[in-house]
Amino acid sequence: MTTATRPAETTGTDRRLRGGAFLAEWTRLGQRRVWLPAIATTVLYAAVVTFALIATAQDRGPGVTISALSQSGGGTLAPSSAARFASVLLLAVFVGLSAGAFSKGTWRAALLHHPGRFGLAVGTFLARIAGLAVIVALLFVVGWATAAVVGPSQGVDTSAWTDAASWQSAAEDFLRVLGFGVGWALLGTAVGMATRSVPVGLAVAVLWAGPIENVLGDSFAFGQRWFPGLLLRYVVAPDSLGISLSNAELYGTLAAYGVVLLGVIAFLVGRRDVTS
Amino acid sequence: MSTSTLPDAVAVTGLTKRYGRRTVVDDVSVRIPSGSVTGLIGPNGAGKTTVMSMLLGLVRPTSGEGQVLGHDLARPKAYVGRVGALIEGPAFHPSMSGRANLRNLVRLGRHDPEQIAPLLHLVGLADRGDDLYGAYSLGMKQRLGIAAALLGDPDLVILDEPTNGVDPQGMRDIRHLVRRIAEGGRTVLVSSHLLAELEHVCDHLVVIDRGGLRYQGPMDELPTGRREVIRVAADGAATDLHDLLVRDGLEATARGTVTEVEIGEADPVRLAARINSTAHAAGITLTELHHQRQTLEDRVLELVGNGSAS
Repeated sequence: MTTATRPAETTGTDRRLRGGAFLAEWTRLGQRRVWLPAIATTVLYAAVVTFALIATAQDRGPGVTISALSQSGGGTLAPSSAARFASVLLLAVFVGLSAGAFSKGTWRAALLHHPGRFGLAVGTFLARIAGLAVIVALLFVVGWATAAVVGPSQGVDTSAWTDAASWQSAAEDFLRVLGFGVGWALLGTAVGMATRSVPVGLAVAVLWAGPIENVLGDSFAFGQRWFPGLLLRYVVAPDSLGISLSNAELYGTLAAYGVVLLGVIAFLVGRRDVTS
Repeated sequence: MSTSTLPDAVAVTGLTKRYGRRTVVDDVSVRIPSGSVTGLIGPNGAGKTTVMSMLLGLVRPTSGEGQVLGHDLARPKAYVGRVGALIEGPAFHPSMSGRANLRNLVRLGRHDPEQIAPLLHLVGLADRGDDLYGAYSLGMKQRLGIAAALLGDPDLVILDEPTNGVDPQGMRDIRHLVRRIAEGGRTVLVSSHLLAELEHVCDHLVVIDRGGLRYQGPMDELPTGRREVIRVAADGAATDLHDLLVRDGLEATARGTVTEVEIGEADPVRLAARINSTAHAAGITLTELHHQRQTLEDRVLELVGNGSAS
């Protein structure tokens, strides 16, 4: 068939193996079939939930109130609070993305071109988080615009929404919502990698984020102090906190959970055989 | 096809994989010469895919050592960039076109994007490259998988059952494709459940069964369990023909209406001519005269005992 043979020596292997995971995933997420529904859903969600939160806001009290909305930074209060309702959706999306890569074999196929497992996992995850950041930014823009349109008719004073303190508050709100999203993303990725099955992963995730977190967790002080989903909810909706918990305790606990999840993911990525 | 003085592309010894108490691959040593087209054969569940997965770093061997493309088997990152593979079937994103999927793998592996068009052409998908992968037939998916395996111009190409689910025309196309892949001097390791397909493209074989190695080496040195024969028949003169051939000094055995003549060390063509000539001289008209070769399947089945080699 042929007489020529190639030398077995390697040349530039490391160079070839470097990087690319972020770009590949970012480009995949950039397909119109992916971003168009994601943007449409975000716009709809941000508008509807912001409208609902403002329309049902009380004059005073905890959470989204007319009084709080009328203060500096009030423009991003409603969209920030709106994020709390997206926890199960976020978890499901990240479970689906990570478990789907195993069950469809695309993780295996990717490893054949990018054998650095950690680099592939980190690049892919960061691209998804970058996509999440875009979605969160859009949530805030649409939520703020909706609030600005709806607020005055509900008695909200929007005159302080564009001062410097408001923009700083908006940046903080953005980071808190992004942190909330990253937390759920880590949980979803860990569950997806552990189960390697979209239906099983979703079942586990929905069971945990639904009845266990919200029924069991909310009913017991232990759950309110330690359940990761509830702790994440406090980040974007501090008014939902039913127990005494300092910021240091809240963020310290979440950071510890983050380290544990990263360890679990690293173990699953690095040690488990890729057999599907 | 082969005959290289270069180091073996793959040289591993004692490759073993256990899942709990179950041993999937048991102490297999494989040597794949550089530039060869090597067929990996074994019954279903023999451990072929696991062996390939271990070579690709997807599955961690329980024990075993060796080298792939001159690098330690335990450090697949060092060599996988020079290996192209289609293993456990093609896996792409169904909502992206074939071309977009390849482009994504190019980004992932930092390959040359200029390769995409020629590779789509090579695998016969030049006209369908912009169709959604989800709309591809099984054969087209396999061919796209082969194109993906060739991204980066690898030195070693590993193809796991590339003809799975492909129609006869597609099988022939893939057989030709494997030949073309090897033409560049690449080393190819291919497994297939269709042994006849491998017979046409391979020059080396690795036969495994129940996790263990049964044979490896040049295909033409694969042991033949029974001797090859020339089958001869003559209408209504089976006994006469048999007696005639025995009197002529041939090792002939009557099997019903057919006589089988052992070829031994003789040239089968010359022997057939001699039989024909002898029968003709005795006034016997032959109705059948052919060299019954042992197919690769026959030989492998004898080697692995029973069951269907795949």
